[in-house]
Amino acid sequence: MLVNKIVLIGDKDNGKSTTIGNLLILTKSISDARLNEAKKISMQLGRKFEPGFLLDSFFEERKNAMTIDTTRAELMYKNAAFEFIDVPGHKTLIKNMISGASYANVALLIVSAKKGEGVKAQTKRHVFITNMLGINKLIVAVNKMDTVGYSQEAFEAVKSKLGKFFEKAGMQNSNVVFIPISAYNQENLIKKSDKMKWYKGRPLLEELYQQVKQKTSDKSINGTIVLLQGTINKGSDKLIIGKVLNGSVKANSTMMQMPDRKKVKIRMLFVKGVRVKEAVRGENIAAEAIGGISSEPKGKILTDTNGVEVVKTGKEIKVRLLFAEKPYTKNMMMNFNNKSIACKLSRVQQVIDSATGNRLSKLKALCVVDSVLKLDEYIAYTEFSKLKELGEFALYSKNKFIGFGNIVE
Amino acid sequence: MIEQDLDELEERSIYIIREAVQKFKNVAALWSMGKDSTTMLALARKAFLGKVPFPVIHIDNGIDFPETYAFREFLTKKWHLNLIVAKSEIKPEISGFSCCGANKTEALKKVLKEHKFDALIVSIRRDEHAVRAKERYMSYRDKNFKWNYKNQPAELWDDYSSKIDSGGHIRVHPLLDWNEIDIWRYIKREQIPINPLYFSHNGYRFRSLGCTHCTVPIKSNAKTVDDIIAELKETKTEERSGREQDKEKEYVMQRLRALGYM
Repeated sequence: MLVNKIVLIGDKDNGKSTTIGNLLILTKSISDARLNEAKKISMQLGRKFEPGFLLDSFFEERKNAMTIDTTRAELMYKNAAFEFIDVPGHKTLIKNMISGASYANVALLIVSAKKGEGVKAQTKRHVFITNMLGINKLIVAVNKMDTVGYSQEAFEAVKSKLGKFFEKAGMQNSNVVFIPISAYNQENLIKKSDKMKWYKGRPLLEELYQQVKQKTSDKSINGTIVLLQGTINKGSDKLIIGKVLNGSVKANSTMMQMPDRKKVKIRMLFVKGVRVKEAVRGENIAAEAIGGISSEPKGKILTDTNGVEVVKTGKEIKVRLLFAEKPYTKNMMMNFNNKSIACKLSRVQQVIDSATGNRLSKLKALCVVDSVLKLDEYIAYTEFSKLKELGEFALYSKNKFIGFGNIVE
Repeated sequence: MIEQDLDELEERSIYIIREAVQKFKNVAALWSMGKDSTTMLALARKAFLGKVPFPVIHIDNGIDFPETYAFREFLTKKWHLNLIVAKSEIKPEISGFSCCGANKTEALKKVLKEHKFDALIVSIRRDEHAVRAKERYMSYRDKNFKWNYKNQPAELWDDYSSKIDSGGHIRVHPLLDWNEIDIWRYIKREQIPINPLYFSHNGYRFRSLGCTHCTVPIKSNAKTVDDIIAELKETKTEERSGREQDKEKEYVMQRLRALGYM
């Protein structure tokens, strides 16, 4: 069954882990043993029961009541399966947030209505990041409504503040649903809360359910794209291996290897160890290939013979990227198609503050940059908007994660 | 227990196993003869056209069940596995944390050093334990086997191309996304041979397998894979409830894993 992957985003201490914890409890998706363990630890630490401890399993996370690393938990609601991805809210742990969020298809923003909390830099930054990760579905839960007397005014204040940010950041926000909740008190999580009669919408999980039920048009482009992973041995023969990202590949067909534009003949084709006539999107293949296959096929693309119409090639590409900590202009490695390629910025177009959406005059930590990226070698790619898998990359410097980005064109 | 799409799980695992073999010079896998690591071997056979291309290591403390040893011999022969038995010492006075920590982890250290393995495929799953749920698909352990869980590297999408610090080894976790019930559904679909201890005998069966000292069976009448799947659909207890190690004290799994336990 298809599992909907929901990442919870937002600033620290706004209640992401608590929300997931209580959703697990309310849907009876957690064993007594795990629940009792979390209760026992809460007591030992002299705290009220922390539902977030069902996710925060490290000693250090519990002691400081703070999520350090991402984790996932599943639940069933009606006939839909959900995987909730918890991520840390702290600014210094943004790499863990991005790691978790990169697997999601829906983002649930948890923002506190409590005085002094609310829409902060990290709240907005997380929205920016999920947007850049291609997560188009966003739902907002305004949390801690109990601390503001379940007042509609407080709810509307958060809503309007966020709305302004969405607009500034150029996001489509007219269809974003806002739900007032109290995660700790389990209000409006599954059942409609009678403390907020002014709220006419659905409770949180029901809203998520309704949204994932709507069919999204699965974006696909014309043509076959196989991302090559390397070679394996079959007896004394070498077979190429790869994954079909788009379209399908057939045995005994001629294909084009990109970016070098070499014709390759595919003879025998294997999926899951069995010889097949055709392999489709999502399948890992092994194939006997004849012709111009590179001695190091990793990172190359096999496509139809009219390859240039399916994927682009280039070594200077327009990108949007986000720096996780301090910004770099050179000495970067672009991890793309499972290969590392040296790169640097050239012709920076604009710099945006991920915490405000404002334009900046120069690069700084956690900024978003629209620029040309100059690569050491040619790559085959598509625009991120066309095919996510072939338009997204991570950035490293000296083996350290420094950011990620999308190919604009 | 959520039943996921087996084809999707299978393809992701195949990709990760292939990536590990591409990326590292000297890969090995841990094989406990349990359901998870046996399923992983079945996936590796699919990824590499019928042959498991890496050695499989059994950390043998000498007190596994006779059925487990018999199953080891049976499958090693059937699937032409390159089996490495790493003997670990067992001291009668220690158990649980110290046993798994001191004995099994030490034996593993020795065998990795001896064979210069730089990557180790381990068949843990996220739904087994909340600490295992914090793992990455590929995760670095330093030369002392330490897991720096407070500062894990980033891991986005299917990107495993970042460089690895030298000196230690990488744990590869191709089954991280699988649920217990998915493993059994896959065993059924693929007719994977399985250790007989998982099936009910006199009203008891093992749901999670360790050695004879610290694993206890659960009450069950499940005599077939179908029975087990049906049982799991109803169960409210934890998979590892029969494992002494997990119960001793809080954070045992975290402490064990931080020190290099699998």
